Amino acid sequence: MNRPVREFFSSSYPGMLFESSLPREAEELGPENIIRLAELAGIVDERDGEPLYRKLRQAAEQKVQIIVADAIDDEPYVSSQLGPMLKCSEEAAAGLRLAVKAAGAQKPYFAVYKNITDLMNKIPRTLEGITVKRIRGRYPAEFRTTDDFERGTSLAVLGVCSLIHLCRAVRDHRIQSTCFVTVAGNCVANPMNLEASVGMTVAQLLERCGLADDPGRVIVGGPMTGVACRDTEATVISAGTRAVLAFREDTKDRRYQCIGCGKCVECCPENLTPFYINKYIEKGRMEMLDFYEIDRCISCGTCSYVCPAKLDIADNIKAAKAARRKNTTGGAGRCKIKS
Amino acid sequence: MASERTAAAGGLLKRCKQALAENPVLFGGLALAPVVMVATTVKNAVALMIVMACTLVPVMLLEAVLARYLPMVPDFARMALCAVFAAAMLMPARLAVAPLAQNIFDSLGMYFALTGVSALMFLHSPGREPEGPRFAVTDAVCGTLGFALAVFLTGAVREALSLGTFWGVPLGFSVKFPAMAMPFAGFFTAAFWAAAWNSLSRLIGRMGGGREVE
Amino acid sequence: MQDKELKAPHIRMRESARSAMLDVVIALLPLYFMAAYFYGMRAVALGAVSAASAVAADMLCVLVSGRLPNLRDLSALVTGLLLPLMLPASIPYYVVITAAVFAIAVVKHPFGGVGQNIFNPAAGGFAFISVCWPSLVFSYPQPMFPLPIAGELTARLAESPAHALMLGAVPTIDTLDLVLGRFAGPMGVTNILVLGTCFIYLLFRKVISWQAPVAFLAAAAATAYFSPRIPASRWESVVFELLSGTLVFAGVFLLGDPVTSPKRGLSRFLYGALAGGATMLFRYCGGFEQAAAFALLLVNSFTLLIDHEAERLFRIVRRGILGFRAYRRSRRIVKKV
Repeated sequence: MNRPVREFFSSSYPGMLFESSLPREAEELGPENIIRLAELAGIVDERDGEPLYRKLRQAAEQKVQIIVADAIDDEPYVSSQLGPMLKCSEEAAAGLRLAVKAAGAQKPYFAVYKNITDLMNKIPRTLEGITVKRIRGRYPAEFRTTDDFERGTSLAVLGVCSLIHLCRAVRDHRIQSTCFVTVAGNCVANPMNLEASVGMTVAQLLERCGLADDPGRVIVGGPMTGVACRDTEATVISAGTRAVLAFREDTKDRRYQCIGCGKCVECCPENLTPFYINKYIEKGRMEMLDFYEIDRCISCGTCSYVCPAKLDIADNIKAAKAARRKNTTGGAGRCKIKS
Repeated sequence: MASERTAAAGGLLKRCKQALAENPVLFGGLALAPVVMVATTVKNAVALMIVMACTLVPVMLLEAVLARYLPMVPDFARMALCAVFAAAMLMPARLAVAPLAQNIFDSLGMYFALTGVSALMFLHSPGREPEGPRFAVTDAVCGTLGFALAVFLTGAVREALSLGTFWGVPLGFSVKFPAMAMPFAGFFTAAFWAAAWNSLSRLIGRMGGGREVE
Repeated sequence: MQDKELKAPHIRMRESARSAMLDVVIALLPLYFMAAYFYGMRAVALGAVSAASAVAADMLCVLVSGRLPNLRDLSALVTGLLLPLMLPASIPYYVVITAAVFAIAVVKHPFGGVGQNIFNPAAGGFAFISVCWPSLVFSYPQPMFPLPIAGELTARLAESPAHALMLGAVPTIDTLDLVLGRFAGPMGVTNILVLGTCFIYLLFRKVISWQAPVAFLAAAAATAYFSPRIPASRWESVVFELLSGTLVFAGVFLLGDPVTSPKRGLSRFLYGALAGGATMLFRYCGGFEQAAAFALLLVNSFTLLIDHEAERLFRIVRRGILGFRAYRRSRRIVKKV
């Protein structure tokens, strides 16, 4: 490995700090100060890319009772939340407690998604004194986090990696300059979770882990919702990147016509009917899409996953939604969320 | 004037070609009931043709005359007159059809009368603009020819497949499909001929279009 | 690096359309084996001829509509294999070929083609030939007498128990024989045990849904129980009605076909129940002894309507019961990047 790159791979690289006169002990900080530190450190929640300080402030205003640290990795191949939670558990717990203080909440929880086939990973019931809650159900589980808590309790869900960064921000006044990324896939020689600097190229990450084959498909993000990367030298990772995957292209993948099996309808987590939506999109009859409530789609990609004919249903729906948003006049650019 | 006459003749030819390409039954879906239900043999088909000819030409002429020379007659009265006239024209039609076969009216049933009245539907064929008595005759003749073609094709196929004959003359098929005489088979046969006709007319249209450009 | 655009999701289930249809073909093989055991190799020959003509008709139709035939598309093969199992083993070859060609060229492709057809092609083909040649389709040879593959047939033909039921008489067949299929009836339809096994296999492979066949059998059994048409006890009536004719076969293979049935579980219940009721109605009041195929065609025409109304119902359900959950979720920032 060449010299200049090696520096970026050390997570204890002292590098980026911010100036602040605030104390470094958690007990001496008030809620508003914690939020201020999160803002100075520029911490980003890896679930959705929102700045952490804004979420903490919102949680404080809404007087939430529970803070949940989201360590759910429901997409296969990805473990960029669970791994750091187990490895840096002390920092994660400290960060979670800080968040609880900042939001004025009462109880912290860790949330994990225990896949029934994943028996090798032992996840403890409590971590540093905080209960670890297992979220049940199939993919997409991250979306259903709030279902396993009692109705009526207000809670806020924050990514566990951002809480680790929060802990470091408070203790060392460190700016968030790294993110936790899983590098995996059947082309990668040593798949692992990395803490990598923001702004590194995908090619550098793959080189760090070693490529066994020439990948036909490199994905930035999870395998279900990620984006295919065309040029690994020109694509950089951001604070919200969770995985970089490299696969050999499966050339036997054929596209068939829709066989009308209805599997997409059975598996939709929002109880929509992707079969008919796809049919009408392909025929160009966009006026029927309102009836089928296309705006409720959460773009989880499950319908495309189970389709035996390998159709791009999720992608078609995404494109149709974008086209409709462009066509609506007044309220331009905002899709209606029916709740 | 000579140029006017040639222009008019050109218009007539184009109108005829259009009326024939847009077959009223196979393309426009008019008067499907007799085609589907009773066009099961060639004899029935010929009978239906005669009925249509006997009723369509006079009715169209009457309608055009009324529209042009008696415009004070209100619309509903005009329609009623045409309907009564069509029904009256069934009488000579009956005389013309009777010599075809002994029990021809038994096999035609009520569709004999229905076809006569279906002539009224042809007044609203696709793409037809009433333009006076002169065009009415050509429209009627084209309509009759179109209907005749549709009913003959359906009747011939159904008779060949269900009875193995053509006008009662055995064709020598060893396998017969008796179900083809039923109405559902009539729908299928008419549908397949419609599909074939559409593709054929598109093909001819493409060829004809190429020739006109030069 | 890549020139074509690759779309999410980037992983897919290993099953494909081809494997789903291959499962159906595998499920049909034991039935052919039983038919060969009862009637000799003629059963297999009929199956091969039917499959070949179905596949040929399918390729021709696809070529006519301007597309290249997809060799991995086995739906025509499935239709071709389904048809002879509903017919007697003594049926001439031209009947089977007619049925297959009609099923593919008239029932399947003009109504939409693969995955979009409204009516079940096998049911349509069977209906056509039973209207054309009822005497050929409804008279069956005795089992355990092997028939010659080609040439003249001199076997004695009998009527099936369904015919006896139609006349209002109790069939004189031992119950064990009735279950094992050792009586004069359609080739692949009589052996209920093997049909049950095939049903469980297809359920396990998730190729058909369980809601429609179960509702179908329940509705048919209920009708047979509450208004028997033969002078026997109610349970006997249920047993005879269910085990005679193509009822169970239609319920497993033709009704469970996901293309022509509605897509939601609840709607499939309704669809199956309607089909069961219609079958019994056709049996009681209709002219043919085997009514399942006709009833199926009738109910297929309601599929789109059932789906549309189910969607309307689910719109309300989504807002009502599930609305709470969705409302709670929308209060958190859960946008997926």
